[in-house]
Amino acid sequence: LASIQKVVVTLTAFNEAASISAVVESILKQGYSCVVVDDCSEDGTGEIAAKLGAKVVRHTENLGQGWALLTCFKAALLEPFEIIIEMDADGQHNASEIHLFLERLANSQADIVVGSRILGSNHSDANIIRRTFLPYVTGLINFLTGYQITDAMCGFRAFRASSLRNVLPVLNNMLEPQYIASEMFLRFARLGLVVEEVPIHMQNRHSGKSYKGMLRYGFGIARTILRTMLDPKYWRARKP
Amino acid sequence: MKITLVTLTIACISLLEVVRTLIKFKMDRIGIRAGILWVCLWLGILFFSLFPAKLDFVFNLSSMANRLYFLFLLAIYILFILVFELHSKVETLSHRVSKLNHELAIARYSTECIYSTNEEKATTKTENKNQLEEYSDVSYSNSSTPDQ
Repeated sequence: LASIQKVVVTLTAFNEAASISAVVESILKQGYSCVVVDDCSEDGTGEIAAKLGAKVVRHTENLGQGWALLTCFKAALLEPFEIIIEMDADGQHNASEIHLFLERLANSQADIVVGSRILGSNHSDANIIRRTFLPYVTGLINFLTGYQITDAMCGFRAFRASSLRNVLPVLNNMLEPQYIASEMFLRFARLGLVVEEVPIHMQNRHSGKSYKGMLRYGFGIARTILRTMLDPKYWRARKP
Repeated sequence: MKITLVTLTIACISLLEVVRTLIKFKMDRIGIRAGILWVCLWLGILFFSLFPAKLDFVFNLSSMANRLYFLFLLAIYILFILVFELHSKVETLSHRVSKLNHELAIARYSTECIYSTNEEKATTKTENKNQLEEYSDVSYSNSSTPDQ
């Protein structure tokens, strides 16, 4: 297992003042470093996280979760961390499950470990639209990438920092960073990155609401997949 | 070809607009695609104002009974092209602004990190930072870092 000092947990947050303290505390209590990307919150989310001891990166405009995630990666790569964990700041992901990701990374050749709400026991609690469409989106991504994952849209993931460093040029040239997950899997598959998954258990949001409109989000994912497939750089990319 | 005051005015305006578009293009204020589009449009107006009879040929080609309908359709088509151009431009600019904001956030964070840690850690960060800069459009360097 990677030493705890070499693990950083990154959170992307927009107006999550009510839940951020519990999430940051649960991460810091376990000894992990925590980087929060405050996506131009107006409720003091960033200040709360900073007071608790998290490192805070601030966007001056609200850019959306995808851009915030890219900021997370780059901020984490500025320091000599070995593992980068990505989590939601709304309290839906359980920090006590981080060790599952670390164990899988330690015992496999995986570059990325994705949490799966389907393999976890409480997927049936999810929103009905999400529950219906998630298998189709995941199936499409599996078909295009050759991966065999059950939940491509889960925001609880772990990355090997060395693998992310190798694909930095790809991260810097994402066509649709606001729908990063689908484009990331397509491009990473071309570069030969190995993806595995672990079951996770979702919790209820501590507070707040999701800013992802399902219809807009679905359309965005479809557009991202199409644009990526039409990008010549995607087809030119080869395994190192 | 019967030249009236109206046709002469339209022809002069069209010619002026062609010249203005070419100057704008030369001064790099418009792109090649927009330049070609506007020059073609104004040259078309210039041509049909001088030779209005030639419009009959175009109307016959369109097989439309009413000439007015044809002109409306043509105008809508041109407007569609312009809206598409504007939409593409706004989307590109929006992407660039987002990227700039994102890079700015990283640059500021990088500077804060360098200030807040000791020299040894800062050196490690500078090495990683250099690697990020290699692939990025902006520099994360700050001229007043403590180790300089």
